[in-house]
Amino acid sequence: MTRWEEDEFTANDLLLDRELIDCNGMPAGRVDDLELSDPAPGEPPVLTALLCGSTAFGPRLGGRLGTWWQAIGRRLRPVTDSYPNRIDAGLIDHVDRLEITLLAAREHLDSYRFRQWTEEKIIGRIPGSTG
Amino acid sequence: MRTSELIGCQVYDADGQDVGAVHDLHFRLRLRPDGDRVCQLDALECGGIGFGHRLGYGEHAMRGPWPFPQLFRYLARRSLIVPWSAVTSFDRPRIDISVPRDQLRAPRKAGT
Repeated sequence: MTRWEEDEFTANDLLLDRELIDCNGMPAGRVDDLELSDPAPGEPPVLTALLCGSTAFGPRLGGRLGTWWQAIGRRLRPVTDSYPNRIDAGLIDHVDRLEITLLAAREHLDSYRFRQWTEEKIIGRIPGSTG
Repeated sequence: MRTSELIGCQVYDADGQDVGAVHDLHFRLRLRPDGDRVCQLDALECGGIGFGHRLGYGEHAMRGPWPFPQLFRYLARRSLIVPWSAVTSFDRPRIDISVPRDQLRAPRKAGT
């Protein structure tokens, strides 16, 4: 069961723009948007997933800049990636004001793939980058 | 539905009066019959300009640097809380609610 720091909170206070930490304590991305269930009559929407990556952040920016941001992210993502990167609410372990801890390892998350590709293909080839 | 679809929508009260744009979402944890806790959308926070809220100035949580706290609190002074139960229709970029604007409460300030 997810452990929450507070019972009542706002999206800006506790969720949006928070760092995602995987089960091994490694950074796994950042929360760019939230997915909510479609509200049934008389029922409020509930949080179903955290969305990450530029395809999630673009719509939040809005306007032409947001459209461009989203388009760049869509072109750079691997063909097998979900769109946008989605982390199911069931994978959330702990939520506090600084970070969100997940139950999964970052290697199994779509949100980490672009960072992994950058580390392998670009950063890893820079002399001295591996220490 | 995504947060980005709600944030920025213009809210209109029962008389068609403009309440402001949505700039934050209030959540509450609810215990389901199966024992699991879900995070449900409780209310929308609406007002003139929400940039200060996004930076943490709207709820008096930030102290500086001068003059940002004073400026952002001034811009956020007319923010109102719209309960999700009052929402009658949502068709981006417009949200209609069933209560008049003067019956909506202001956001709770931190430490109160």
